[in-house]
This record gives sequence, structure tokens and C-alpha cells, in this order.
Amino acid sequence: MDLLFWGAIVRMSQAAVAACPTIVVGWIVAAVFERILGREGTLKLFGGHTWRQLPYAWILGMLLPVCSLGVIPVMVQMRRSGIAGGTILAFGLTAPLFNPISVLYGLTLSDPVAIFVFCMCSLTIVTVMGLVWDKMFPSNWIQPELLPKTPFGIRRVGAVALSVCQQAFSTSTLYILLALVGVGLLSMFLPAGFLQKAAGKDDMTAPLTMAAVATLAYITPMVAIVQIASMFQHGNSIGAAFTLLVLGTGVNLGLIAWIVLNYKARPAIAWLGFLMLLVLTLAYCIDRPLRPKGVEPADHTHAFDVYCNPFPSGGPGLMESSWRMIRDSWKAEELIAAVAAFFLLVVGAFNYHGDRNGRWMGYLLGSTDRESNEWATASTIGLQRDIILPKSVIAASCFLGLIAASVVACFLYYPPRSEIRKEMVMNHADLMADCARYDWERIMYWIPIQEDWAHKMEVSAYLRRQPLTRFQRMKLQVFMSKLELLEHAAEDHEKEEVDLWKKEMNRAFQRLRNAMDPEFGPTALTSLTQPTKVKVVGTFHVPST
Amino acid sequence: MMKICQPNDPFRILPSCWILVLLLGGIWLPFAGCRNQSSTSSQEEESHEHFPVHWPKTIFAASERMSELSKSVEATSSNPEISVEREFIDLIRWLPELAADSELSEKDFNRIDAWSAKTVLLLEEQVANGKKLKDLVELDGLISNVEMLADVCRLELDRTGSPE
Repeated sequence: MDLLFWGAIVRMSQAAVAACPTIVVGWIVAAVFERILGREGTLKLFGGHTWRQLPYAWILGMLLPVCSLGVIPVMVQMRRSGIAGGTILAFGLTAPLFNPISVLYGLTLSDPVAIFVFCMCSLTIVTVMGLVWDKMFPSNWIQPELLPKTPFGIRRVGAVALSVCQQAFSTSTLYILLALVGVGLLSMFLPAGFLQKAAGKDDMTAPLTMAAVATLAYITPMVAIVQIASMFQHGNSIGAAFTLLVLGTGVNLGLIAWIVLNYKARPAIAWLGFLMLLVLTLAYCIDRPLRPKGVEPADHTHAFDVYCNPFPSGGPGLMESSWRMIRDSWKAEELIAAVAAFFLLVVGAFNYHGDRNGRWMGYLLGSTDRESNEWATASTIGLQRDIILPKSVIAASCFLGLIAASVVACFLYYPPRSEIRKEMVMNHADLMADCARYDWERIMYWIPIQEDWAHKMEVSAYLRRQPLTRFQRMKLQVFMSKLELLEHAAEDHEKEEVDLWKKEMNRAFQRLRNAMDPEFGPTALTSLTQPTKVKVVGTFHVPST
Repeated sequence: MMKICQPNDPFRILPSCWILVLLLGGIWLPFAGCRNQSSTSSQEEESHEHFPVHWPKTIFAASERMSELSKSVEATSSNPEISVEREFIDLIRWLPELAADSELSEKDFNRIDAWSAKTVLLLEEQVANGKKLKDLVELDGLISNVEMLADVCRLELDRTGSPE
């Protein structure tokens, strides 16, 4: 029982921390919808009740950096703004699936055609599901409640800030918690390593298995795209990869509960059943055509270990191991977001209990008309520094700002190649030292980090329009495969194998460095001191096809 | 008095949420109870076969095996699960990866890579038409390219002193 409990705690904590950045973004977006756009503005943003609502839901969903947990508060606001159910569900499925960073990552990791097909299939599903919902349940929107106008200036900033705290301590957080409970339940049900052979290329049940697992799992868009790329590289089932993308990234227990409680059980179950059917049909259709050629299928994969219980067996020290696992999975940005989320929750709780009559918000929104008129007058005569911008200007700047922020975020997330090289060199030194000490936990800590940087190197080169040559890409691929073999050896605590793959990985790393930066690579320097024979061989005869 | 819109009362739906959690937990937990043996056995059964039987460790080994197959068309596959033609094609397909896992220069790599990509397509087509190994090695330029690869490998071995 200890094993189940601590396993669930680890998986729930890891998911919670990973989700914090996008949850905070979700609260902010929800607050902006509520206090800046208002109900009418939000409805207008999503195209009102016209044919434009679904395409707008796609575009906004792709631009907003939220996950399937962070999207819940936004969906709550959309519902309150009188947006049609089909549009809300389409947005709820699209937003977690894609964002600029993850699509870029996917394009460089897998076959671009496959990623394009995945995107198109996902958008088809989202559109069909939205249309079906609106057809099955016409006029499924509620009349938007009237909100007091938010005044301009510092009070508006205050109202949005307080609204963010209120979003944090609201029903949407309960749905988020419910989704995390789903993650815990999944880890209780799936023993460690249970899914290692669940996505075999020729396993016809792989998409079905993945559908069952992915519905409860929580996956961030980045993790999903990395896992899908890994499935392509390992020759796993493409249908299972597609199912994982749509259901794993888009659906979770909290979202299902939200749909059930807002639209009643029967329509929600019918919708979910139809979604499953559609996803599985498309998954089986694309499985063979998209299967990568020339990839040797691996006999097992560790890509899905994160959904299973982390502990293969019980014993003393589970609590310490759990804490160490949680701590090792934290990244700096996630930790900062977790602190921010906690702060917002505390302020939200304080506001909820200390101000049940809404006096704080009342003060911030108070005497709107008089004040805004005064300010408007003042700005026109140039006595006030504030100017009142038309809503269209604010909306346009928000939209362009979102695009600009996405571009900047891409460049920040994928630093220049020189920076990545420095990080990799440092990590490599640590990894080698830990291998020499057979420190299994540290080895398992460094390998995913090193893999992540190796992936980033390819994306960074692509982003900066200096794509890697085929030679460099192959060196990178060889390095990644050696890292993976080292990981397998370390998992089994095989000292001899670790020695072997450490040596191989080290050699592959030095070759990668030389290939990336020949003039500074260490072996390039040593080769200068050794005489090199000039190769005199003919050229290969390349057959014409 | 102005009506201030607050997000829903978080505690209003609390009971129904937890009932749902308990129900789901109740469904899943019995499955979770019978987990330990399967966990251990699945781990023990893990075979860790990361490479196919006919995977050559180095490009030198690949070159050697290709020379062997091209000279003796009656040879049998080193992997009982596949035909000798399939083995021959696989060896050519793997050449770029094996070349990248060696100290061969970028120039050599590019030549091998280009040859491998085009030749694999051609050979796949031939095998799909029922051609055998003896037909494959008779294809224009194939033998000479296999010999060229052997030359490149020999020079590389002379330079580095070991296949590692």
C-alpha cells in the first residue's frame, strides 16, 4: 500500500509542478477575459455565434500557452460569456495540443510530414467535435451575466490582479485538482514499467491501450511532442502516438468532470464516446501510411514510464526516494511558477474568506462611469498622463503581443548553439563522473537533461536558419542512441554495460563536438599533432533511380 | 448596490467532486491491488535486445560482411528471421549511421550516405520483384561500390589503427 501511495504522490506532484506555469497563464488569461474584455468582448473575440467561432477557437487555442489544466479557468470564463459549447470544447482541445514552441520542436524531431498530418488530423477532430456538439445540442450557451464596467488606469490593473487571485481560488482549481487525482489513480493502476511494451509497431491494440491510459494522464504539450518524436524514432505504433497526442494532451479527468457538471452527464458521455471513436478511427487510418521506413523497432520503450508507478518494488526509504524524485524533476521556471501559484491561491483564499461581499472588487470597480468620464475628459485636454485606448487597439496589441511573445519565447527556450554546447559539456562532465561512481540516481538524473539539450540543439539550429548538416544530424543521432543505451544499462544497474556505454557515449560526444565546431573540438586539436594520411580512393557510383 | 461577479463558490461543488474521486478510486484500486507480481515479472522478462541479430558493430564489420555476401551469392543470412537479401539491404541502409559512429571524415560520410540512400531504394524495388542476392550484386556499379567502401575502411583503419 505504501508503494501505491508514494507512487501516486510522486506522479501527482510531478504533474502539478510541471503544470504550474501554464496554470498561472490560464488564471491570467481568464482574469483578462473577465475584467478587460468583459462578457461581450470575450464573446466577440471568439466570433460570436457565427461560423467564425470554430476557426477563431483554433487560432486562439494555438497561440495561448496553456495546457489541459490551465485551459479550465479559461473555459469557465468562455462559458460565462455565452460562448457556444462546441466552440468552448474545440478551444479546450486545441489549446493544450499545440503551441508555437512545441510545434517547432516536433517539426525538427520527427518527419515534418508526419507532424503536419498530426496537426491536420487533430484540427479535423476538433472541428468535427465542435460541429457535432452544436448540432446535437443547439443553443447550448447560457445568457452571459452582466459585469460592472472596469475603470481605466491603475484600478483596472488592480481589478485584473484581484481577479487572477479569485480565479486561483475558484471551482476551476478543484477541477485541476481532480485532474491531478486522475494522474495519481493511473500510477496506482499501472505498475512500474507496465507500458514498456504497450506501443509496439505491430501491436493492433496499441492505440486502444494508449486511449485508456491517455484519458487519465496529464501531459504538457512539450512532453507530448517529445514522446511522439521518440515513438517515431523507436518505430513504435504511429496510431498510438496520435492517440497519445489528442487524448493525453487534450483530455483529463478534471476536464471531463467540468463537461459533465456543465452540460449534464448524458451529452458529455456521448461527446466523449464520439471523440474516442473519431480519434481511434483516425489513429488506425494513419498508422500504416505514416510508419517511418528504415527504423528498427525497439523491443521496448521507457517513454511511458512517467504514467506508471515510479517504484518497481517497495521497501524502506520510499518517502525519501519520493522526495528526491520530485525534487529532481523540478525545473527553475516551474518552481518559480509554483511559488507564484501558491501565492495567488493564498491571496485568493484570503479574499474569499475575508471579503464575502466582494467589497475589495467593488472598490476597484466603483464609480466607474463618473471616474472614466472624468479621466476621458482629462486625457483629451492633456492634463492626465493616462490615455484611453480604444478596445480595438488593446485587442490588436494583445494579439500581436502574443505572437511576439511566442517568437521571443521560442528563441529563449532554444538558446544559440554555442550556449547549448557549453551546457552539454558541463553536463557531460557530471555524467561521466557519476558513471565512474556508479551513482545510479545521478546518472538517471543527467541523461534526460542531456537528451533535452541535444534535442534543443537541433531546434535552435533550425530556428536560427543554420540547419544542421546531415553529417551533424547523424552524429547527434548516434550520440542520442548511446545515451539511451547507457540509460538502459544504468536502469538495470549493470556495471559492465555502463562502463561499455559510457565509453561509447563519450566517444560519440567528442565526435559530435568536432562535427559541430571542428576548429575548437578537442580531437581536432589532437589530430593536428598526428600525421594524417591522404586518402586516395575513387568516388562512389550513385545509381540513378 | 452593484452586484460583483465572483467566480463560483469553490465549496459548492466540493461534495460532488469528492464523491466522483471516491467512486473512481473505488473502481481503480482493486486493479491496483494485484500489481506487484506482474511488475516484477515484467521487469525480469525485459530482454534488452536493442539491436537486430545482423547489426554490425562497426562500419568495418559491415563492409566486411557486404564484401562476403557480394562474393558468395549462395551465402545464408546471419539472422535466421530474415532473408539474405534483406540482410544485404539492411547493411547498406545502416551505413550512414555506422559511418557517423566512426572517425570517417564528413566527405567520406556524405559519399557513403548518398550511395546508401539511392541504393536502398533500388534494391528494395528489385527484392519486391522477387530478385535474389545474385541478381542484386550484378546491378550496375554495386560490386565496385562495395569494394570502394572496403578501401575507405581499410584506409581509415590504417589511419586510426583500430576499428574502435
